[in-house]
Amino acid sequence: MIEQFSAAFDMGEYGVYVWSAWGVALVVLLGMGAAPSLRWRAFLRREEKFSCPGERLGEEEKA
Amino acid sequence: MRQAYVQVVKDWSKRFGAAPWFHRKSLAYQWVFGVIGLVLFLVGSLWGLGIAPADYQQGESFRIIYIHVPASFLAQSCYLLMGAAALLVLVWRIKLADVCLACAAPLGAWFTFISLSSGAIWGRPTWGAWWVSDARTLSMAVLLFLYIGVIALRRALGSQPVAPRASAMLVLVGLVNIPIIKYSVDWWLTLHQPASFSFVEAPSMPAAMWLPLLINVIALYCLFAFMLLMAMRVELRMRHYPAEWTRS
Repeated sequence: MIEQFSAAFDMGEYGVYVWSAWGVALVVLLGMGAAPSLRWRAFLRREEKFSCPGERLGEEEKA
Repeated sequence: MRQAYVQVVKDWSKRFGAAPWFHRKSLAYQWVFGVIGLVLFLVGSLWGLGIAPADYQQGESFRIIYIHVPASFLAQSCYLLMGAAALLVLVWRIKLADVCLACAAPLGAWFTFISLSSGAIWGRPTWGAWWVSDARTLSMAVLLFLYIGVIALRRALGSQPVAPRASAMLVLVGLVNIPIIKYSVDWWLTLHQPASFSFVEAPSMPAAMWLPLLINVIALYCLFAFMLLMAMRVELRMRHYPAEWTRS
């Protein structure tokens, strides 16, 4: 069963190309899927850090 | 007549362009697209990588088509969507269209990157080179630069009032590149093969080869819709924070 499965996905000499292309694509797709949630969490952390309006103003002036 | 038209547009944009309404309604659609996209992507990818027959000329390397073609479709379709959003921004100044434009640009850039990188990896065993500067590859590279330009322009302008109109103008100017990409393989002699899919001709591949390709194309469109809705919801929450509905 396992041998049949691995034989079906055996690309021979082209394996390195096929799996590289798919690997890059999958990493990018996973990153795109995770990005909005990470962005929102980073935003909330920033908001909590500068919850006092005075602090925020100070940071903007420094920048 | 004109007043009635303006009123209709105002009512429409107030109802469908309102951030809380969109934020509330889009959640269900987001997950429907996400689940359908994931299931189709698993089916199409396993079929394409493990079951579909190898190409008689290119052998197993042909299986890169199952990610390269869907990503290329998405790269161009995403820009067309941004073009439509840019029109809505410029003509009716709909803020939700600007949110859509801003969130679609990074997604389009990444899909173009997938298209170019998988094309380069496919080119090595097929053409003997990672990169060949023909009309199709160059016009796709220009598309990536256009996406990066839109993203950079938005970053540079930040939350200035001119940002939506400026980025919309840039998107509309860049639209000229889309037909160039599409017809580059017909207008010029290119090493890149002609279109894999056509709306007016039967596929040149057997069904066992093009069916998984079609499934993966639909899957990536669904996953794109999922990611776009997710990004738009986060963007809306950030723009309207700390309104009550953004904390739910």
